[in-house]
Amino acid sequence: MKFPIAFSLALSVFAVSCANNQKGSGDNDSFRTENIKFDRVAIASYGTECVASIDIDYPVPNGSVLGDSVREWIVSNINSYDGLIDVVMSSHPSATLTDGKFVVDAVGSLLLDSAVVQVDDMQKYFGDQMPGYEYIYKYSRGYENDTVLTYNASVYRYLGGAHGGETISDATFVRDSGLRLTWDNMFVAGYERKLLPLIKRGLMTQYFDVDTETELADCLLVSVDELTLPSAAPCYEADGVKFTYQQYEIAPYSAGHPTCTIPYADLVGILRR
Amino acid sequence: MKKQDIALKKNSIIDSIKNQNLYDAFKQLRAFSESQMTWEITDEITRLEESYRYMLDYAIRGIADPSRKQVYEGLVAGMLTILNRLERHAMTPETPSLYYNTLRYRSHAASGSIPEYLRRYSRLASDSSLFNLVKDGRNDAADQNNRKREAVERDLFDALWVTFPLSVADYEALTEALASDVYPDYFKQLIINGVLLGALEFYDSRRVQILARVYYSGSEKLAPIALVAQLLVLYKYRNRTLDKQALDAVRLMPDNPAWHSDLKEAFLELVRARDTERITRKMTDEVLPEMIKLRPELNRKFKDLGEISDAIEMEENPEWQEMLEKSGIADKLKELTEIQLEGGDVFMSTFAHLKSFSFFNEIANWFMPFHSDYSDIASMPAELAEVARLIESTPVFCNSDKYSFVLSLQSIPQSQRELMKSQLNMQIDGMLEMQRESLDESRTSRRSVMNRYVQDLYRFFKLFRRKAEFDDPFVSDLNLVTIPALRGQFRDSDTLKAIAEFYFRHKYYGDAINIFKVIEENTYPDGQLFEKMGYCYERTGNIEEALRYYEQAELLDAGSVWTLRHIARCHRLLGQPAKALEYYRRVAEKEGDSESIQTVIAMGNCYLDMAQWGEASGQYFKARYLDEKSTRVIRPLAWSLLMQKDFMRARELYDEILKLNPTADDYLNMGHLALAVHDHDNALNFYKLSISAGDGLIETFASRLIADAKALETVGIDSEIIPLILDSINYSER
Repeated sequence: MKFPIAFSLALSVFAVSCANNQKGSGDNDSFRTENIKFDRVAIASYGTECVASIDIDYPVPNGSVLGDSVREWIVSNINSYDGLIDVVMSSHPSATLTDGKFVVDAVGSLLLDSAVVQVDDMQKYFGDQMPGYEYIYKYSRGYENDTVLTYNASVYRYLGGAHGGETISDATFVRDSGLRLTWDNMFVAGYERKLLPLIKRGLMTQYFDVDTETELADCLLVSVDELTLPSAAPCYEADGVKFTYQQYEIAPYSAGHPTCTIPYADLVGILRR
Repeated sequence: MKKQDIALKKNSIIDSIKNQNLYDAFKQLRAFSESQMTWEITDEITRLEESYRYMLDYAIRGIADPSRKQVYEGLVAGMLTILNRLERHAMTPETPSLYYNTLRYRSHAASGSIPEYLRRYSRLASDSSLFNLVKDGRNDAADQNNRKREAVERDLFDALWVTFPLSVADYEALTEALASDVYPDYFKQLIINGVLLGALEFYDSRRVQILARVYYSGSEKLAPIALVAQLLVLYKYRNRTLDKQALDAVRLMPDNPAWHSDLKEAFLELVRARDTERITRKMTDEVLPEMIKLRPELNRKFKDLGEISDAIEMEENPEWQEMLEKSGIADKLKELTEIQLEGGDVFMSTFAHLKSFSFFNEIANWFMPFHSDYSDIASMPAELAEVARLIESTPVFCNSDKYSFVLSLQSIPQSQRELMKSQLNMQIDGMLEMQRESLDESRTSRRSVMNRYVQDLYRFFKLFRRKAEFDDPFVSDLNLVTIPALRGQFRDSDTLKAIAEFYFRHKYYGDAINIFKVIEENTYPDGQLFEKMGYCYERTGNIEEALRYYEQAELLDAGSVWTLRHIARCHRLLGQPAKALEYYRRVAEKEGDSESIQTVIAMGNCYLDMAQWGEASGQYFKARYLDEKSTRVIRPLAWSLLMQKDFMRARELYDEILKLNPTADDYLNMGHLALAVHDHDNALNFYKLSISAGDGLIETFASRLIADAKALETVGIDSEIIPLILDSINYSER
């Protein structure tokens, strides 16, 4: 069926003139977050204090693809600790995960409630020697530029014993598409071989402050030759890509989170984006 | 588990299945499942393996079992599905793709199941019935209801996309919904799209069955869509063993009386989509820049009209027409009109710019049929909502473009909106009138539905923000003939000829060969077919095969000058100038007195290849006689004279060449000539000019000079001088 091509051309001209006026065309404009906090203390038997502190830069639901992606990552990350989100949502079937206030309050309350129950339970055996649990969840916007956004996540959980444990899991997102960058899509194939020596060097100079591999070996729980890439995804920072190992992953607890940032210039050829 | 490790495991299991080593495949599947602690799947593996062992037991005891092959294929299909489930499970926690984002998000959000969404939708649809609205008497209630329905539509689409495999309950609810009158057609189309997108992620027998069912019992609007979707799924999994249920369902599709014409149209639409890139390039590289160049002049002449009307007026305004003729756009427009009439996608370039509205952030919206009561559109100002209703009735744009168009209208001034509305009204009336006049309305309509549907899919796979995460069916050749489940359905050579001709006409020679081969297998020898096959092979560089087909064509039609010429050309390309010459002589005989300059030159070239310099120059002189102004033979003629040591006449010709923008080779040959007449200084100068006219590298020049060693000896130059020349140049370059 003939439709005047002239009309199609008119539309083309029209389309070009409209192209810049599309709502939400630049996701940078539509991505918004709201800082939501939960800070409460609950008292178990013997007056033991249990603490839950949550602090999240939660994406506002406004159709932003980046927002959707970040929200999914936050809730999946929270859920990876004892399936917290699954528990919350199964008991609130009409709730939605776009409601950040609900998510933060519900997760915080759940943490506290279960902490009190568990601490009470343990106190049956250990009495007032059983300390209170402590949860500190923080998800905050980190480094940002026109093309990427990095989120920094830190989850600290103290469940009795000598010390608590903190897990760091940062994530970088591509603004336009919301795509989260991982090892596989951040680097070209075969990156491990080239990247490991850079990280090793970075750990020596930036974190452990040592000059030789022998000295580095003294700092690690694994042998220098067996050093692997961190389990956590790398993330973009202003001056390079940051690599973070978890506590105990390669070094003792006292060493914290061995971290280094490799300058972008050193990653030319292996960094895909 | 890392993506790489998952892929390794998957490939290893597939290899074992392909090698019919099911023992090993079961072992690996079990280990894969146990490593993920998916005990449900492990139980299924155990059950499947038990069935296999029963089958083996019967086979080893020599018990005849006519259904053994079928059972074996069923087992393999089951194993592959289990493998997909394990792969998906392993990928779920970490994979950042939208598919897994959605899957994780849905699982955390305690989202509903497919039957639940269908029930919810049905309730909302009944709430929004006229009776309820009147009872409520409130528009905002209707709006709210609409928005709720749309939310369910999106949720259902996501569920359809990421649910794998569909359960029996899903399958039953979906087939019931697709056959029910409760749900509007657009909603059913959305369901088909969700079924398709999910099927393109992982093979799912029930999805194939649903699509087959919709095709043979669906409405005029849905059946063609289901067919296109089904063809894409079957093509994607053409190398996979399908289970019996899916195969049986596919085998029922030809029961639809429109099957053969539908299959032909669907095939054509899919292959036509491959041409979209070319059409888009034509629009953006050739037509639009010219249009933009004309705009200042247009603006001067039509000061009172806006830019939109300028272009629309051009078909009617004689002044315009003249301007277009002069600018050369008119010819391009004619070509584009022809492309459009053939079904080509001329709007891709236009609307590709308009897919960044936040509306298109939502994946479901790319698959949502356009309807003007969509809440974002229904809530627009009255004049825009009216344009949307007009747009809804036009059969020209695909759904995705209709949304783009209407969403864009919001950004233009009201005066232009009115203008746009009146123009649109006029165009659409004309089109609808043409549609009514169409002789075979049903067929035209089915073809039109498929055409727009393919365009919708094409836009998604080419323009969606995260398109890279999807397996784009339009990058493959979509040769449906290779689908085993459709074997025997392409005996109708008309369909194949139409496809092959399309490819051939649009220069997709490799694709055309694939179809021509199938036609060749199913028809009597046909000279024209062989000629076309020869030509396709020639254009794709397979000269041996090209020659074979041209020779077969010649056997059937010995009188074709075209064929003889191509046979000669192939022989020459294969380094057989004597044979080539033989054929060119036959061409010359057939041309008789009207022997073409082309043939004369070709024969000269053959002589040149055979180092028969005298005969070669004879032909070239003849060519110059036939066309005095032509400079085509000046170079080979100069060379053949040089090789005959006719230095004087060679010199005259090279002087002519000097005036014709000489190339590196020309300077090289002139250097040879100078060397032959012992004018060493000039020789060196020409050689240096050859270097600078080329890539500037002495190495390149050296290799050319060495390649000419034999020719130099022919004119009496000792090749021992070559290294000396090279060193001389080296020294003089310092």
